[in-house]
Amino acid sequence: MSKQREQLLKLFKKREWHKKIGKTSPFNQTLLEHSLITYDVVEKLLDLLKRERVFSNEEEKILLISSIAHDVGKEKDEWQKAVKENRKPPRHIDDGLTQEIVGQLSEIFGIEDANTVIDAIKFHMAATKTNGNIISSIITEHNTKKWKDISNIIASVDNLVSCPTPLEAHILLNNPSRFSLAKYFYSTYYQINIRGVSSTFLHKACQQSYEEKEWTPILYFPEGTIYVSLTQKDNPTSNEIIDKLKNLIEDNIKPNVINGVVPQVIMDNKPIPRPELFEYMEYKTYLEKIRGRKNPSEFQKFLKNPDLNNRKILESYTYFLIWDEENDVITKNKIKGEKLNEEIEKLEKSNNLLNLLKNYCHKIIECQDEVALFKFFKASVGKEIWGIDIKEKVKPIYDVIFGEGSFKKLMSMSNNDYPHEFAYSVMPFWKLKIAEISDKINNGNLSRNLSIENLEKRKRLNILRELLNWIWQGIGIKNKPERKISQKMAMYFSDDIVYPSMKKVDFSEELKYYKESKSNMKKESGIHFCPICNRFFDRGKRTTGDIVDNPEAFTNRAISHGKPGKIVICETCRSEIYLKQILTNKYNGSLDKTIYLFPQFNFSQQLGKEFIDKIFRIKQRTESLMSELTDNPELRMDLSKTYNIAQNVSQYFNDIDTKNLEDLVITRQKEGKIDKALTDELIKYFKEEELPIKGKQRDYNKALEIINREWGEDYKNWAVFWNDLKNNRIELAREVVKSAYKIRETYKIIAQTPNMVMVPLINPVKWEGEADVNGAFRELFISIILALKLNCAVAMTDNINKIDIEHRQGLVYVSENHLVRQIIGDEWIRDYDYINSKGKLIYSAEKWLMAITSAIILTLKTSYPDRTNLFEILTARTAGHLLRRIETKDKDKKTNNAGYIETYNLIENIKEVTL
Amino acid sequence: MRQIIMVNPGDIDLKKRKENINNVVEKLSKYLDFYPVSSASSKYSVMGPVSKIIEMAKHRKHTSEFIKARALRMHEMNKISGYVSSEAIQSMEDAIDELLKFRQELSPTELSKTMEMIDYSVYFSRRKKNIEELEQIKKEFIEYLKEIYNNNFNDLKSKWEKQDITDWNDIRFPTKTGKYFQEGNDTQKEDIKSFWQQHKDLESKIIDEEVNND
Repeated sequence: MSKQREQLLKLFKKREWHKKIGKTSPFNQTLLEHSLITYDVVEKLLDLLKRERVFSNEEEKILLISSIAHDVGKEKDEWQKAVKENRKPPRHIDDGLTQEIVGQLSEIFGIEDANTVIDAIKFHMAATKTNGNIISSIITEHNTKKWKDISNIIASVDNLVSCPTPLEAHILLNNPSRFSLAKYFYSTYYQINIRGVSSTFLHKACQQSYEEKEWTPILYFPEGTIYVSLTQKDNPTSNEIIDKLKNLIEDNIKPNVINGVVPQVIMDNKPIPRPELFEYMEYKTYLEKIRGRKNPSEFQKFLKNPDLNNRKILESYTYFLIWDEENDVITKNKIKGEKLNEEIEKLEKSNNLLNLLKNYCHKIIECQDEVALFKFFKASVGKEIWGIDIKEKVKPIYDVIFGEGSFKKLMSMSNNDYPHEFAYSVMPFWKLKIAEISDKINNGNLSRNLSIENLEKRKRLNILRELLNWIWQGIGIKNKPERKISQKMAMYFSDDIVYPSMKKVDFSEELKYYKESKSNMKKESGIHFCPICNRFFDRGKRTTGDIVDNPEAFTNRAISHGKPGKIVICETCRSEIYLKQILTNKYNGSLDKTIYLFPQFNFSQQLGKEFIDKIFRIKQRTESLMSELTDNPELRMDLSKTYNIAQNVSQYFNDIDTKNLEDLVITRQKEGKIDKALTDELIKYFKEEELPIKGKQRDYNKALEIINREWGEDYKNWAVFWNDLKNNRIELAREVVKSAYKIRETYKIIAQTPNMVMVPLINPVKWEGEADVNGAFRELFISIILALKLNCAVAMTDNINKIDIEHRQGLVYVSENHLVRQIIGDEWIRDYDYINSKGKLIYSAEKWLMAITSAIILTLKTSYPDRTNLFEILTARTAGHLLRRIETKDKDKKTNNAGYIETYNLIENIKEVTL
Repeated sequence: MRQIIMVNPGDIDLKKRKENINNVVEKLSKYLDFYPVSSASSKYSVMGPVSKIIEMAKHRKHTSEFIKARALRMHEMNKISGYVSSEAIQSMEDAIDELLKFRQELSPTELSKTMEMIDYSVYFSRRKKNIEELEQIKKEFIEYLKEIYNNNFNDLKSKWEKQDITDWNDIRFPTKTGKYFQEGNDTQKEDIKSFWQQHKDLESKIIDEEVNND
């Protein structure tokens, strides 16, 4: 930040411009923000004009001062009050104030011609351009002949920064009667439809393309950006934007994409959750990452309490024996009944049955990672991955290794049937001898006569991975599966570009489509109307539960009779959901809300940079705290920890302006709780070694000996080890630390440009089991903190289409909950108290922040049910009612919360807005 | 059949209503400054005659004189002191007049709810005032301790033999009878006693509250 800008900020903050209203129409803006944006735009335009030598140094300074001070009259209380009360405000030209501010600014900028500045400020409003005023200014002495031009420029730029959309700004820039510098500048813009996380990348791709064509950005809006240039330049082509978008998407999804192919645990129904992400060349990496189910419980239970009367295990073992012995594929139904009973009877005669069963259970537990590898292999040779049936090509290669008929067995392997999985996939592998496969693997020093079953697990897994990869490489098909999702997504998302538009909308055609779409809503073919984004498309795929919630539910977009089915959405919406899933690593369960951060009105290039820099700083901090490599595992930046965040906020109520976002949202875990969790996790980790660090048998020296041996460390002192463990300094202990501190990603910051930043929540702010109204207050609390600390508008919603971004009316969007909106009084909260169009007083974001913070802290003292506690507190009839509740609970719990003045102050904060 | 009676409640100026309630609450609370409270533990003891005044105001048949007479009698029956000064009577009359004036603005459906709001608001304001006074005493006690220990907190900590306090803000209300006092060592007890000896004027402000602050 330049020294001058710093001085300006200091001066205007002292005059509280950051708390005063600057604009209410078409959108809200503080006086400081509006003045700074006008200043930044003038500065940028002057910078571009430098080589044209249009203005002298002194004139440039006059322009800068006039731009920042042009609305000084708005700081008057009468003006502010009238705007807040929804009355017509008085004129905001005040000679006294203008002279005062110009005097102060002239010192900062070092200019002498204050009269020109005063006139520029005076005449930026049309209403003050009276004949008398103009004659009086003509008589006044000016150092520059351009004093009239300067006042016109200020008025023009004021109009420019007050345009509601990039399109209107573009029209103004090209109109010489409304923009006095129009003869020097060419302008262009882009505008997009905001869809979701993809919009951040689309913004970036557009900006990269425009900047490559040497356009200079001057204003950022949530839906687009406006550019200027001194020379005529082309707009980027659609292909150029798509190309950039593709690269951006690829770069951003690459680190996470593997989780879409290989989930944490291979699932039964969908071993490869997102086949679209599959890439032939990455097969080896996939195999490395695959893990199977942990601890099949019925087998573990049996091992704990071995019992020959356990019919389930006995049956399981019998099935396994039959499936293993039979060369041909045999179904369960054929075995059930007589054959099964016969085999069981035979088995029961065996003297060694208990040991056989125990051994079988051990094997089942042991082989789960191998089962997962086979399941993944089976899925990866499927039609979904290759687009064609390749089984006949794979069969001979597979059978060469695992024996004749084994591929058929693998293909008929049923899911979640332990004996079947074991017999049809793992057993043919375990029966192999090293000699049979030595030419296909790197066998090291393994004896050729050894059979796979006798190897330790790690070695077995390595061999299996090598074998499966060998088969994979041998599949002789030309068109290998490739990940083309970035290219596809880029194509789909480019539909969201409104200007420079690539597709023209034919409304009469759309009307015709609309008539046809209803009967096709749950069919894949025919014309469709996307239930998410309202676009038309020809053919689509049915959705599943992991893409939209309850795809079979009733919707009046479809006909209410006929066959049931799943809704079909457009490929762009599907890509948006996929992209969000890939970026958040959450492929199952419904997606939670997303926090949208965008300019309340618009951002200048400088303000946009400051905003995005702040976001990047927070992103970096967040990612470091949520990573298992963190140096401060005790710190959290989890937005659902609202009680701890509320305590931070209440601590800084009086100097909240001076605090960073991190000061408010970073919370610390309790020391005692952590010690206990770490102890438990260590014991769990060293379960077999029985680490003696708890109870009467505690022996830290012995424990340290085990730890040093297992982790290759050399700790002599338990306290030193403990300190290093707590600070996450031991590499091999990171898994333990991660579990004990519950380190995990709770949200993802997706930031590319200042136009719009998105934060998809992995961990919702609303608590589980909580009423919607309670959750909505909690969400509002977080939204207000973000808005106040990042100086931007904030909306938390599950679908951005619910918000009319083009008619945004405030700083913080109130969640779509009827009760909360009724209590607040409006859909948006602003940074000041105001009377809305219905005559209702809407309290400022800061007052609501104090009220909700106090309510959150009072939840423990009032002991209302968790489901509705915030709602109960914020709708209590009077402060006395709340106090009586606390006193009653004090009696029950033998506490004395009503005896402390802090309790009363908290109630007073709530009283301010609700009681 | 009788025709349906249509009622249009009209718009209520909530801001003005809030101001009126606050005004009445302030006056009733001011009157209670003249009413000695024997025990702060129950709502009725804190509210004195005000609870009865509000209860009576819910019924429009009760005239101003009737309410004032009943309230005065209640005040006279106060166990601590039945003396009612002319200022107290004036204050009480002002508050009742304001309350009844406000009552006239209320519709029958609002009356009971609004009176309840006034009742609880008075209670909150009295309790807060009480706690503020106790906070003030605590502050004075800390100042007193700072003076006698020459601002040396560690000196106090060792003489009081308290390990759980880390700075002056951890010093609690100087209770004379509660657990905090009983658990203290001789020096602590002596300091508390000498504080109260020097601040006898403050003693009237604490009654049972010191026990509550344990």
